[in-house]
Amino acid sequence: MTLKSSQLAAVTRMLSFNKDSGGDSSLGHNPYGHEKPNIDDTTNPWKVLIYDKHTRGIISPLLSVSQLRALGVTLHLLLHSDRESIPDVPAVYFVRPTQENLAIIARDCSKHLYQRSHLHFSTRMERPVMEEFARLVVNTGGLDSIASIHDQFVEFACLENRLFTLNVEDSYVVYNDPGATESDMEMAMNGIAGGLFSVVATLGSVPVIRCPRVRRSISLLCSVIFACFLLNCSTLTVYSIVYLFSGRSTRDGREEA
Amino acid sequence: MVARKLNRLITEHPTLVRSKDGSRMTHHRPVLVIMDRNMDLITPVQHASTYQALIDDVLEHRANRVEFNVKPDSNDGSAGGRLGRAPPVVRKKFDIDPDVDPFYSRHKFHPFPEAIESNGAELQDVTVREQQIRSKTTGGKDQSSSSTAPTDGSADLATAVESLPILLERKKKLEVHTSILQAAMNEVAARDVPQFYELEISLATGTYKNDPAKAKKDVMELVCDGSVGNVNDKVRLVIVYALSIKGKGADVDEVTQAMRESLETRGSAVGGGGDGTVEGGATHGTLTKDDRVRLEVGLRAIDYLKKLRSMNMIGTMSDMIATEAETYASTGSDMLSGFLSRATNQATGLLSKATDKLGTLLGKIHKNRATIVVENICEMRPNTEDDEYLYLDPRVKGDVDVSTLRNATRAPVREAIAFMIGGGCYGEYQNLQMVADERRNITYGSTEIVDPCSFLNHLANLA
Repeated sequence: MTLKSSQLAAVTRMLSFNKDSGGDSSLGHNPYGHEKPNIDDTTNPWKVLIYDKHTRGIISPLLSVSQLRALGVTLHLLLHSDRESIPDVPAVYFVRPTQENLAIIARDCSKHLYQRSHLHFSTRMERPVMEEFARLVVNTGGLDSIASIHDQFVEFACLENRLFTLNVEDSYVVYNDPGATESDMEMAMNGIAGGLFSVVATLGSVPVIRCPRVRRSISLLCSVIFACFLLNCSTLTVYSIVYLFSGRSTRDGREEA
Repeated sequence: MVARKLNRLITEHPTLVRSKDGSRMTHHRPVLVIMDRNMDLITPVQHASTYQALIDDVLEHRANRVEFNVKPDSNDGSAGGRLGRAPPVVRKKFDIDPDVDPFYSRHKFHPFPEAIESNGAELQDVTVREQQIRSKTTGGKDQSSSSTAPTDGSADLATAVESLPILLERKKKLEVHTSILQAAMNEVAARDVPQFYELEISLATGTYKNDPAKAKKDVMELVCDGSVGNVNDKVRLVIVYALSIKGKGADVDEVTQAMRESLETRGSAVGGGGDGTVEGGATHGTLTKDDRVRLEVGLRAIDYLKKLRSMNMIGTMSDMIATEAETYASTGSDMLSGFLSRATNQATGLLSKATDKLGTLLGKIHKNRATIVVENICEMRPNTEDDEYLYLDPRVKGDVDVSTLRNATRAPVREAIAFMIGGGCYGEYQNLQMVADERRNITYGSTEIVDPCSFLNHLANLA
């Protein structure tokens, strides 16, 4: 089982969900992706796939257009493009759970653009973002067109069986920019951690983590800098704990809106 | 730098721990090695010699899609003739997925000339077989018309006909590679990439360890030679030189200055050379606006690295030399010696020189820093990164002391994930696969995959 085949299985499963039993019942699956993809049903209806730029980068090296069609995807569109209403076809949204994306989805739902909408997010949805989204959907009356919501943990692009990338642009600059603020750094690091978590989750086994240790025997000048950073670290530790608890409640893999 | 690693680590650690609690047990657990780009800045700017890495370097290659321009005028050969004729420049786009393309998966890590050779050979083989089948089918028809066709003959025919589509499919893929190879070859030849590759490899592997004067001379020659390489090629060479040679900053300055002067004079000499700068089919000859921008970017990148280097010196130089010496004693295969070279021990030097010669020929033996780290950790070699690197086990609270693990028996590593923060490259990916074998898989990942020229831009942004 390589990383790519695991990811392919997860995405295939996502796209062949379409039994449309009106919500939850057919969707109880393991978010870590180890079951066989469910492609057996012959009545596989056609569907529309809607992605954003980021998730397109995940899908495109994984599945070709003809492979997508074999999975029942007749149309694949960017979330940010102008999309026409196709009221008799269900839609699979596969996007990043950003506030902006969610606002668009909520708008689509309120307009009942598609028959039913299955929402899949490339990574874990933050609690406040989800609450905001739920409020928005209820208020605009789009709730009944949402069939399901899932976290997918596929925040990485597999180029080959044993090659993946998180597709972070200008990553060297981001992690080495002396002008970067603390919060930029934090965000960047959370991004990597989230991406690596996706990889680990997709592989489905707990790794041992190895990384460079901080050298203790550094010169005087460096130890001054080091001390400064130590201060930062303690704030980060606090942050990590917060992050960790906030993550707990939503990490069930699926949530009904 | 060091502190950032620490920060990252703390952030990453609890995330993974928390989420994986109580999940399934696996017998052979993978090892995730997280590394920082700054530990080896040579590899992403170095020129490559293998097929896949060269595609990424000289053509536009992103997410397994290659794009390049084909000029029908040059070499109207087998590939060119087929797609030529129409407009002056044809834009070609191919999706190449190494997992379903047998030729690509076989040869992506092979040296470029080897890929060309076997592409030719395979194509010929396929053509011959296709002809055989075609002649057989026509022959078969004759037989059946005379109604004396033996049953085994028709069975033979059936299999032959069945295999034809597969054969044609294979041929089509091979032809795609022929045109990619050709496009890459044009670029490689125009820029004389092998010269850069060889000199850079020698620098990086420490061939010039005891002879900095010669290193400087060789670099100077190539950098000032107006007939080879484009601006980026030269900048990259200077960067490799700056990072690999222990020498003073003054030497680097001198080489940089020489490069700038030669490029600027070349620019004033109209039509001089017409070499290299065919990227995007944009420029030819003189130091154009684009080239000038590239030179500026390159110079800024060099500036940044100089700054980085001087910071390193203050911070960790003494420390690194110490660990380096240790590494030597135990492995004796650390090729990146040039970086912090110190005449550690003559025998190792000779040994590395010998393997290095072979490495240049095979394009394979030389191990990058990341490869060495991963290998050391996988093999659990004492006194290497295996001791030095933090050991975090999401199942165990807090850090694990590797020295205590040493006494216990540890399960061999079957699955390793090497992850590079700050951008990875195909060269490194290929290099890492050396450590893989039938019993061990190496997966390589990074925050992004950057080609050498984009990486130059990144460096320049930081200056």
